[in-house]
Amino acid sequence: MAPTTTVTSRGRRSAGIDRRTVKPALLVVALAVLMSVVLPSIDRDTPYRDTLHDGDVAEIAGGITLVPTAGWDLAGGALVGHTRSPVASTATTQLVDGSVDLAVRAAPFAGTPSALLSRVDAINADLEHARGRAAATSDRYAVTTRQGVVGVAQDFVGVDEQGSIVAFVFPTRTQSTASRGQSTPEGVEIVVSGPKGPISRRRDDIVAMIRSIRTAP
Amino acid sequence: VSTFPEHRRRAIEQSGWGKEFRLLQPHNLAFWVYCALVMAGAVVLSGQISIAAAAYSGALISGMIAFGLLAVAYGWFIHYEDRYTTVPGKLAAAGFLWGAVAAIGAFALLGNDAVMSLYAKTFGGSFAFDWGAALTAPIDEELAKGAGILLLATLAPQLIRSPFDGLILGAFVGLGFQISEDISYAFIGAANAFGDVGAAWATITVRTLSSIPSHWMYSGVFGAGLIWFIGRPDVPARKGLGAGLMLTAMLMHGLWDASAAVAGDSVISWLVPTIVAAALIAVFVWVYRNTVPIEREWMRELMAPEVTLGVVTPAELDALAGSRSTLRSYIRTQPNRRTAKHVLDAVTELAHQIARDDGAETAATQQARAAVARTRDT
Repeated sequence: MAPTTTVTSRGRRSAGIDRRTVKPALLVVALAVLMSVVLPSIDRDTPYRDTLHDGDVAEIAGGITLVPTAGWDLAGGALVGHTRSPVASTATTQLVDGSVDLAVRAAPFAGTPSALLSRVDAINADLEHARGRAAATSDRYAVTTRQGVVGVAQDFVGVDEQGSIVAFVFPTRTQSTASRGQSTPEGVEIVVSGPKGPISRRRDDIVAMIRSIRTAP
Repeated sequence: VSTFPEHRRRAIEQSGWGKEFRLLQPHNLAFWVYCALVMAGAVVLSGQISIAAAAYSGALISGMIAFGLLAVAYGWFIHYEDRYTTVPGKLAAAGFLWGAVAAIGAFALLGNDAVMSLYAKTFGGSFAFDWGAALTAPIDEELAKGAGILLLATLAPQLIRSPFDGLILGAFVGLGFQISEDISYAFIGAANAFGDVGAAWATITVRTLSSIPSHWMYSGVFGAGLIWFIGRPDVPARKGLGAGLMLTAMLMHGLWDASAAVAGDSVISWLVPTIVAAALIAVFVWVYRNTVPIEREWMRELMAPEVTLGVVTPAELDALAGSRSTLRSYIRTQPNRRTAKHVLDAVTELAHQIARDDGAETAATQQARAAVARTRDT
């Protein structure tokens, strides 16, 4: 039978640990602490330095845009004319202002806004069940963009935060270069969340941004 | 065999071939760190998996089945290429587990999110959109996977004896990372498409098609570089080459992640990832070719006494210790290819048995030697 391989050696032990194994092991621990503790901590303490300006336009999916309010921050997503990478038909955008978060998710969806909101509600119910949390929701109401696209919305109130979920389905859109000219219904889900006070103070900003969503001409 | 040839003794000693891997080593700090970080990673990943199981179970199951099969295919391929002084299965499994659980859960998930967010905060969301992944993942993820190679080299110093071992172990670590990441992308794809399982299958297709120039390859190159950097008793450290290869792995990873931003929205956007993939494969093949000679030499030294005994012919030894093309051309020139292949399989098993028995003349070795003769007669 072949011997097993270990590096243990009684003569080189300190507190029961082989001293030759200490340096590489501690190096790995230091790397783990750096990545999982130090970097997230630095991130939490770092403010945004490049806030959005008047005239900035976010591309929330190929051919669909949103005009963000100046002073908010783009935590994720692309600004029209500022990126090289094409924005796909499935994409996410995240805008933040202090403790208020406006997250936009876009993906192909063949159905009505109400059907999209029902699907989102079903997923959220599953997630809340898994997390052991629950949120109360309001009746649904209509929301119309300045371009005239009608969506459906509902408000929610949870333990830590409250907000709104809005669903649109844009009937036509232009896809990427490879298939330019084809039309596919595009579902757009907007989730606004945050503490009650900050959301109330930013209500006009939020409504303006949601109403600014439009498809490319 | 009354005498124990010096070359055989040296080959077994230097290669560590035939030794078993034991993870449980209470006196080795690397063991405790390995276990702690795998458990930490498992806790983080279990949170994700439970959410995916609750809301996107179809996508999660699809991903696990599809990428589980992909893992088997790549695992077989890496093992197939590791045909000389083979890395033990338990060590390969420990590497895979590190990549799949610890490197992602205890390192990359939190680290990547933090660095991507820092890019967005410092340079703007559009910069992060274009370049964030390419400037984050290659550093965080290669270091996270490389940490596992370092720990396992500390746990099995007699088994990781050459940069080729680093290449193979790195490939297993990278494969674990790749499969775990692929499964998460499958359910994230569904989550981003309002739970549509079809989106998960689109992700599965894309990730499978692009699975060659991926983590198993980056980490293979990184692993060979790491072992060259730290050196082994019979392979002196070459710090410049080692550091260069580790940086090359990061660079290749970064170029791949930056392909979309480099190519832009042009009709030839497929060209950039194709060039990057070709360059990465070329680097991997170069590393393979430059790390494998010592393994072949160990195989030759281990089996040379069998040629003296008449158990193995010189041509069979050349095929056994040669490249794949040498092996193939040897089989092609034999009158009965099927028998020739079976004989080589039996000779390979004899080599493994000799190594397992530490070169001692045991009943098992004699049986393996007899099996070679029997196969030759069929």
